[in-house]
Amino acid sequence: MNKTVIKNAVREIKASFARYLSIFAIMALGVGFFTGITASPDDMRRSAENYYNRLELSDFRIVSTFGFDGDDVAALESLGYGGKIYPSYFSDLILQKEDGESVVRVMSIPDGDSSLNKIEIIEGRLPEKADECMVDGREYTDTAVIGEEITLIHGDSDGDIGEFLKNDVFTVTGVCRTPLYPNDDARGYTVVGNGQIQFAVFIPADNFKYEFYTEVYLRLDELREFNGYSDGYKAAAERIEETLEEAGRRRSAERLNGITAQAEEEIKKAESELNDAKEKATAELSDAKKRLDDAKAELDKAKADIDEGEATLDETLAALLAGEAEYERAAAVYGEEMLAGERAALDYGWSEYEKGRAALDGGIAEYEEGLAEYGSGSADYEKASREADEGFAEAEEKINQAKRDLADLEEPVWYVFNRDGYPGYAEYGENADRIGNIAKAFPVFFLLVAALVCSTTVTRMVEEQRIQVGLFKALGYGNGVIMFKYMLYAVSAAVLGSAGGLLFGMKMFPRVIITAYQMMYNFPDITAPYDLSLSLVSMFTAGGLIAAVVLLSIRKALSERPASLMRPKAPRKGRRVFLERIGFIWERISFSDKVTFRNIFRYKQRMLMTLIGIAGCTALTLTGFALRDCIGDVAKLQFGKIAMYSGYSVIDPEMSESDAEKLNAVYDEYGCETLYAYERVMSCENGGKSVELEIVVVKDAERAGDYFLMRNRTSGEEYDLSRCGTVITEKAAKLLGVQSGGAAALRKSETESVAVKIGGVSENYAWHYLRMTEGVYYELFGEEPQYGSVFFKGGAPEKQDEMASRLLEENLALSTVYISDFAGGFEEMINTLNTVIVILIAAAGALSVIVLYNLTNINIHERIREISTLKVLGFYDLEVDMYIFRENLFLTLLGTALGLFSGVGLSRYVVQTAEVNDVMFGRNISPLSFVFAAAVTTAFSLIVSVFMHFYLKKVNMAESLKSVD
Amino acid sequence: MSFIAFTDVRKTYKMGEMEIRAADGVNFTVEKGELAVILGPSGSGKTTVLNLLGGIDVNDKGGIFVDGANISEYSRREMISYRRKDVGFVFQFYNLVQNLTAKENVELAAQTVRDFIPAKEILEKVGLTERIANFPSQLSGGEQQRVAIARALAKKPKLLLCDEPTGALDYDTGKKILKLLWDTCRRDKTTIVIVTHNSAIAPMADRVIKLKNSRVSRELINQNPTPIEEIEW
Repeated sequence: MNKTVIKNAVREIKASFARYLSIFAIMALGVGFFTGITASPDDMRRSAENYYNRLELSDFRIVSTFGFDGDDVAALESLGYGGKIYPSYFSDLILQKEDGESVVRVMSIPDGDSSLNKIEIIEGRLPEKADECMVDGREYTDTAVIGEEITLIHGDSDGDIGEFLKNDVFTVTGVCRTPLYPNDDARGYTVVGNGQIQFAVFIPADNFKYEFYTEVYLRLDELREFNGYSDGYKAAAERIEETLEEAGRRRSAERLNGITAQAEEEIKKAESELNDAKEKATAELSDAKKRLDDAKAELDKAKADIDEGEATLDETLAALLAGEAEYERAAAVYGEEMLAGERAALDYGWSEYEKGRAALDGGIAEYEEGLAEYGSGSADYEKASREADEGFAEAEEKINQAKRDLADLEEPVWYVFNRDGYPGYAEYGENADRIGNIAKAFPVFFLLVAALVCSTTVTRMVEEQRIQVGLFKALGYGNGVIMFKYMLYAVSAAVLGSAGGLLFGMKMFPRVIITAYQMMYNFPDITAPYDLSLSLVSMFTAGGLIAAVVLLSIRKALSERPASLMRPKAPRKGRRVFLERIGFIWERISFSDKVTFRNIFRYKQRMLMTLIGIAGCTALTLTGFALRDCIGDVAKLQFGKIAMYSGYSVIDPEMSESDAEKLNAVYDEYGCETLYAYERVMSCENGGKSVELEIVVVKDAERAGDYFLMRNRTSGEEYDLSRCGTVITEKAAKLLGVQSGGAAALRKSETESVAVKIGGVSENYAWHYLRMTEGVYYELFGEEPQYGSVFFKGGAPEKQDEMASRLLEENLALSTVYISDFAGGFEEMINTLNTVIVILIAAAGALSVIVLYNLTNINIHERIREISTLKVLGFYDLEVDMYIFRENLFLTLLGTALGLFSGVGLSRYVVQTAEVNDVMFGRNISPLSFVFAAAVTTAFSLIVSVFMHFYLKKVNMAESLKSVD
Repeated sequence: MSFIAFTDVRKTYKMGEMEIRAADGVNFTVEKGELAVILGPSGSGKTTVLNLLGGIDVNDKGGIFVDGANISEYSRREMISYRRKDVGFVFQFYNLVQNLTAKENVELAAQTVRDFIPAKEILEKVGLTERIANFPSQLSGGEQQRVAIARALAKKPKLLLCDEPTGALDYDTGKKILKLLWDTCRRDKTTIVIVTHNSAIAPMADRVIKLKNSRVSRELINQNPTPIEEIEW
């Protein structure tokens, strides 16, 4: 191969740069789109993983009914997994501020190297003082101002916040994000308030008053080799989870023993204290009693003395009175003067008597006082003694209660959550899977259309260069050398185009898709590296494909003789089309339409390409719109049509009669009807396939139809659960391959399963259900269902929150959820998919523009003499346009129709592959989507026509009619 | 004033960095109803003159008068109308639309004007009654050129321009075509301009314009044109 050949090849690129560019552009678009969409799900996972790693998201979260002590943490450490174990505190509380209340999870600020789930400040600063806090979530920032004061209160209105926290009033110092809550709208559930955590509040750890840690986070080295959303991670995490649960069981038994021993000791101590107190009290009381008795004896003696004194005084009085009478008698005899001595003796006697009387009175008063004192003393004693008895009885009762409590004490339970248990975590993985599924079907089709159009261009180029091929042959060059030029031309355009496409596509598409998901997921990281193997494979495939096309199209030319090559190729012969045989139609078609028909059928290959191109683009566009319809339908149908209840509560199936009555009274009060059910997740199997589904045993099967629409989507048959016994949802039936009347196996345990007859297959879009009657359940499992779910409907929407918090507050329900809540969340997820759909549609549109432009361009070049002739004949610009575009218009219409038709199939396929297992997308494409898809293609076709109009206007008749070169 | 008049017509093409003066001050006239032959070797600018006259190219300087109007001042649209209504073109390589039958090729041109000769009638006139439903690929060169002439004449043009009409034809066929043109000129009083390098044709013309180096070197008027049958080359 000499220099001139290479020079010639390079010059060819320069000379026909537009064509080179068109191959480049088509390949760039096709490969860029293909690699971009294909790389997107991995990049989504990678971006998330980077964020999780940066903030050190834990692999496991363990909570326990008893909390964790140092030994628990040590036990976890002793399992020997490398990595970090981070015990921490949390408490679900109510946050109060001026404009309302929210349910929040209060956590300790992850601080220092040993901590996990680090927070990242979005705004403000970290708390520095004990009464400062941070909040998470962008949603919260909309309503909260940094510097605002908040109060945390206990979930029970009569509970004391002082049990949990030292401080209860905090100043917000900043807003942060935590890797524990990747989704802006999912914070998990709790038993506080209306049951839905709205955001997290981070406070300094020493603010918590807990004796034990409330949770432990683990992040293990062993799992770092996997992406958190990979199957490898899941398998390894599952294994570790089992070990952790095992450790939990071991520790729980130890914890219980420890607690029991300690409690027993305490009880013993209390008992002995009680006994001591009793003895002491008895001694004191008997002392008092003795003192009282002594006093009584003294009093009695005093009383005797008094009595004696009284008698003596009485005697004295009698003697005095007798003396007085004697004196009177004597005075009458002797005169008073004679008796002065006697008188004095009598008076003395009187005064003595008066004295004695007074002394006695004093003694009586004293005695009475002493008696009263004694009376109150003995009352006091009685009281004290009674009180002591009562006090001891109470203390004894307390000790007995403690003994009984201890006997009733259950082992603590560890709940180990892997990342799937983190709110919003798994969902993101599902979203990535969904994009991955779309990437499986859509871009491949896209790439095919691009390759097809490229091949048309290359074929045309070889055809145009016949003379040069002939010349090189005449000059004695070998086939390989001649082919080299075209290979270089086409393959370099294709490979460079692919490279350009993937350089752009692998960055742009993942970025746009991830950015779209960032509306919902709050991590800021985007990681979209180039995937080397995917790049190489696409470039080689593109290059190889084009090389094959060059080989095919040049083979014919190379086999001809130079002389025939250098003669101009006779223009394509005109031919009658089949339609002309049908005289009555042909005669009715206008002259120009006849020309159009002839031309369409004259260039069959190009017609086919145009048709495929337009049909392909229409189908792709329709698929984009259809995806939107079908995914959007999930929430609309599931929550608007299938679920006819307004919400459900989870209750304790063993609640007391009176509570049950109260529960129903609350529902009544809010105007809700109820349906009790038992729900249980189980694995259902058939023919080697297995699906996790929820068994819903309905208490009142006749009324089940008022709460769940149970209808076959295709036949429209409505099922009465009480008559058919079981109804399985559609996607589960499809995954399992069972039909109405068939049977599947329900796995009871690892070793045991029971066969269940399927009474009906009902329309359903989210999650899988197997609904059955009480009777069927009993037959299958030999036990009564435990009705722990209450579906309710009716009631005023504005009272929803009130009812939910009342049920929680009065301890009637563990949680109450309204479907309107998660319907909203679902809708938001679907909105992010819209961005993806817009990308699909835009790409399809770009493809259709390039396809149409390219094919129209070839059309014009191939028929440049014909067009010039028309211009010479005096056709106006518009007439010339129409002469060419009538064909395009016809092909666009036909292609669009064909595309809409085949688009239904393609969308059905893409919609089904895009589904994740737990969801069935809608199956109906809205008529408007057909209109849009057709409009988009037609619009692009018009854009191309406008471009071509200017091109046609510039065609130089004189030049192109000169002579045949 | 003459029916056709070129006054100092100039036209320069740019071919890359080269400038080609295809018309370098061309002056000539043709009267109505005449059959004029523009004669010259290749590169003398004769095709340029024909293109300018036919309104498929525009001159840089000078005036081109046809039937009293200066077509060099026509707008783009007026130029299209001029080609549509006033000019018929016949090419060396016929330029028939391959995908249309003989009749349809004529109709293609005829449908652009209001007053036209029906395709069947004009094809009969050029002697192609039998072959009107055939595609160009099914016709011989002479037959194709007849279709081309019929297509040009169907519009009843004021002016018929022929660019080497016999260039791709054999001797006998070429003669027949020239005869057809001559007859048309005489019978319908159509002004015809033929461009050729074949000087042997010159005697049949009413007027012969010789071009050399993009200028008119001689203009001859033939009082008694030789009938085609008598010309040999």
